[in-house]
Amino acid sequence: MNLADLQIRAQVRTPWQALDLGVLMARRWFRPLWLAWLLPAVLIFTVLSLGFADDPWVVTLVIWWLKPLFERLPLLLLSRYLFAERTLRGLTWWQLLRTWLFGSIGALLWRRFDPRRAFLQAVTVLEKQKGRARLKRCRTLAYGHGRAATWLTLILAHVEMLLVLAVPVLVLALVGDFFERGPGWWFSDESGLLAHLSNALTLICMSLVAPFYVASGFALYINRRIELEAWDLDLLFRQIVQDHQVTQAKPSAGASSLVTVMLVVMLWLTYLPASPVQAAVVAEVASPDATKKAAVELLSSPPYVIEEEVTQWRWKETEKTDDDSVDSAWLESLFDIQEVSRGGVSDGFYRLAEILMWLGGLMLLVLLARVLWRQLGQSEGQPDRDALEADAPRVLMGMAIGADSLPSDLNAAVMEALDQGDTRLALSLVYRQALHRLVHHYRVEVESWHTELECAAAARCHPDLAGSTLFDELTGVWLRLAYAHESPIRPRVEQLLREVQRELAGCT
Amino acid sequence: MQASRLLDNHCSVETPEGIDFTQAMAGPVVRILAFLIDMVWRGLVYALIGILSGFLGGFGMGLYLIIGFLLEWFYPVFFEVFRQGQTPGKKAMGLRVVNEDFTPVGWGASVIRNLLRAADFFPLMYVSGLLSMVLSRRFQRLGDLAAGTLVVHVDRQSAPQLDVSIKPRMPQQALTRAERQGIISLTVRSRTISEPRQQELAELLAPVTGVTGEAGLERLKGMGAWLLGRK
Repeated sequence: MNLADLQIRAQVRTPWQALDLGVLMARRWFRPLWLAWLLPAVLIFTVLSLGFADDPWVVTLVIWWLKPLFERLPLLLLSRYLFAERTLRGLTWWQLLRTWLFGSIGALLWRRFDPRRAFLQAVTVLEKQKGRARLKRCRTLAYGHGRAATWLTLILAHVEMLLVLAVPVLVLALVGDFFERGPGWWFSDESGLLAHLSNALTLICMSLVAPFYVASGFALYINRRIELEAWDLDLLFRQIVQDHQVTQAKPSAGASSLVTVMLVVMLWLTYLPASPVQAAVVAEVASPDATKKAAVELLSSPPYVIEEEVTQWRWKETEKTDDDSVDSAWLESLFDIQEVSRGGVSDGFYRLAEILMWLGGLMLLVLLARVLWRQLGQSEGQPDRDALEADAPRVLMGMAIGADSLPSDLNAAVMEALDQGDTRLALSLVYRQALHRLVHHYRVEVESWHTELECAAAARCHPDLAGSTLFDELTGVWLRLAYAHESPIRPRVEQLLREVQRELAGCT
Repeated sequence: MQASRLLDNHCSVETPEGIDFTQAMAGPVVRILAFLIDMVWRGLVYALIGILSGFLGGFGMGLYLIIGFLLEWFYPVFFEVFRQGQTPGKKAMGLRVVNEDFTPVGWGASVIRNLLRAADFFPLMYVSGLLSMVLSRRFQRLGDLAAGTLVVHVDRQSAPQLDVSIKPRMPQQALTRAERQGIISLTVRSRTISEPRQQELAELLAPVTGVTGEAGLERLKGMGAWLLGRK
């Protein structure tokens, strides 16, 4: 064990951070760790599957039970990879076998359900401690790290189960309705080929999780050792002493040369303002004109001037984002897409789309406000009386029928006209009042060019006035007066006025 | 020089001024725990609202559905934007969501990373998210990759507890930053490191301090105490 070869940055981390480091370790050395777990397991799995062909559940159970032993070889590899040793050189066959045998009884029986297995198995496998010494060592190591180790086991056990469940779910989701099976078919078929398939899947999922489990537990263990044995300080102090020796060794030879260099630099600095271009150039040319020419020549060439003729439009070169956060190829391809969408061509489109989206949102808001405004305006008071009066004709047959053209006290006006003997004026007032009520209150549809009879016909069609002959009578009396000059008697006019006021007063 | 090949759970961002900021990225285990804590909190709220809405009949059902929708999609967004990137679960585990340049996460990024939970969930219980987290270099799930966010550990620096018996001593020579940090670290951790090992470490630095043996260790610790501000 040579600390200088340590493959992780030595630092005391929190237990959770140590677990993260374990994930990184498992990822870097995934293939050897995975194979080291999988190959012995596949061997035993095959033998068991042949032996217990009729009871497939035994196979998974035994494999699961033997997990602590399968994890020993990856752990051994990891302990060597950590110090940049890529082989198991130096181990005899007996030692290798002993890796599996040492303390295996305890590991498989009473320590099988220890939730801190990944963390503490290094004490058995790597330190080869037994009995009381082992217990004491475990207690020292577990201080402050036991909780994280327990959670590691709990969570990765569930992740393993999740993977075993996820694969059939994924397959079913992709296959769709092709293939009709009830829920839980995967586990229902206990003895057939499917059960063996499920066993194999479970084995693969276990093997995929195992490197992470072993490495995370080992990282916790290493973190604790870094803390207790101050590996980080050891490395740091050695580095400091090394730097110190280098700087100590140099001064005798270096100090004088350093002074010389400093002097030269200072001299050169004082000389610099007089020679704006380059010392070598100035030395050769004497006259100021030539110097100027040389300077212009120099300034018109790269790196002072970079000329480039561009004859067509092209996109600006955007800086590529230096994003290297993905390890595997398929995620990298995902990243490429992301990068394309970040820079270059599509950037403009995104900007445009954003502007359009905001404009659309604003327009929508304005429209909504307008609609709301109109709604509020309409529900206030009597909205359409004026509007309707404006729509309907205010003059019919040359007579004004608007509310403002009629006298406010109709009775008095009619009576006054009758008293003066002006029957025509009185009846016209009654007729106009009737028309006003019909057109502006009952909303009888008449046009400004309608004649008296057409108005009467329109009034007859109105549902509210059906059955009433009043307007017809009034029209008849009026026509006779207007065109034939047959004045009705005074009581007749008064009667019509009363009836008009009674019958057409209904709708206000 | 193999320094760059050393495994480390930290990532750093350099500002235009040339200053490096370093943060520890949070991996799957601790994030799963934080998620579970959040799930329990949400479950409690669901149970409470379920009981209360039982009294309100149909209206209560509608209310329950609306609150359920908000809780499911905007619970993390709310906390990430208004509580410095920490949902209750993340806070309990000492985690924080930040942008890839360590700036606080905003509405856009937070909404994207939480809406994409649907993608991470596929095919069940965040299996895709887990795979993405393990495969991406900075432990990002798909939502994080899309939103350009990271989950990092929050530095929790407790005040160093010094042994009162250590007598502070002024360093006799100029110390570099690494040297100062190393000496302070040794002083602060003197309770967890065994005495012989401390001696060994002090012996390593003997060429610098010029003192060997027990006096060397005492001197180093004194310098550490002095550097920490005890005079």
